[in-house]
Amino acid sequence: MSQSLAKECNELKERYDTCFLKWYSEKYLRGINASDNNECAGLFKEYSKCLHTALKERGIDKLLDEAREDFKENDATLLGKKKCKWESESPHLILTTHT
Amino acid sequence: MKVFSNTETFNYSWEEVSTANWRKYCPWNQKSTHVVAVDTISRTVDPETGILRTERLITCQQTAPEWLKKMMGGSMDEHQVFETSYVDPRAKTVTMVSANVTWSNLLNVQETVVYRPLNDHQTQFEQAAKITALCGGWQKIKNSIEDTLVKRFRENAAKGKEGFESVLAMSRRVFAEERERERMSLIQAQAGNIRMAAA
Repeated sequence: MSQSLAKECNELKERYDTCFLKWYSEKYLRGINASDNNECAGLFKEYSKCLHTALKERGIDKLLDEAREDFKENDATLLGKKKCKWESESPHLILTTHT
Repeated sequence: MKVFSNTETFNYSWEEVSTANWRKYCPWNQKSTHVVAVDTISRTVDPETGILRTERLITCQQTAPEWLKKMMGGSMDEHQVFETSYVDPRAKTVTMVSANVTWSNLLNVQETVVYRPLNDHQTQFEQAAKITALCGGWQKIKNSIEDTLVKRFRENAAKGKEGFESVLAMSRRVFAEERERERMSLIQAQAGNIRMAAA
């Protein structure tokens, strides 16, 4: 696996990456619990906490926010969400009222 | 603005390529050494489309030409790239869009990579990059900056193909070994059960 930009996060990153790759190849690509990425969520949370501290220290967090803003258009095209907000939100509304 | 584009074919299935792609920059790849770190910022599966969306921060270390360093007034050796990728398991595509995070007031480098299956055993890699120098001043200088980066892209692409080939070969070997280990332990467990039943 590749390194983290912050040495102190390497171990947490390695553990998360291993979990993710197993989920991706054994479940996601085979359509088994494909919408559920939760089994690695705990490991991701730990790694993410470490990484965000490192990004903040280096001032990269602000640069990332700017980049993310520029990327919004890609989500519209590549996630196929060109529908209006109402249409994309209504299925969730129906689901939540039943549960 | 300058454009760089490149197409390659990998003799591996889309599933193998899209899996190995997550560890393209690992120690198995001894060619793309300019990538020193890859961090995952966020990852979600879209409930409607099943598309896996991942944000990553890629840290590169590559020495810039002296004249460029002088002009930019910095070492320029380390820079970061922000990448958003979309895996569509139904359409079988991986689309990766990336842009430079560092020096974004001076340069705009946008790259799109798409992996799609050609058939069950081959995957196509399509890469396109747009490079624009934003700094004020002479067009001649902007052109030199853009040309330098296009040259870099070409060099990195050639090395990237070679490096990714070794990652793909190693991945196939490791997955085969893993499957064999699982098969053996299953056989051992079954043999154990038979012995217990017989006793």
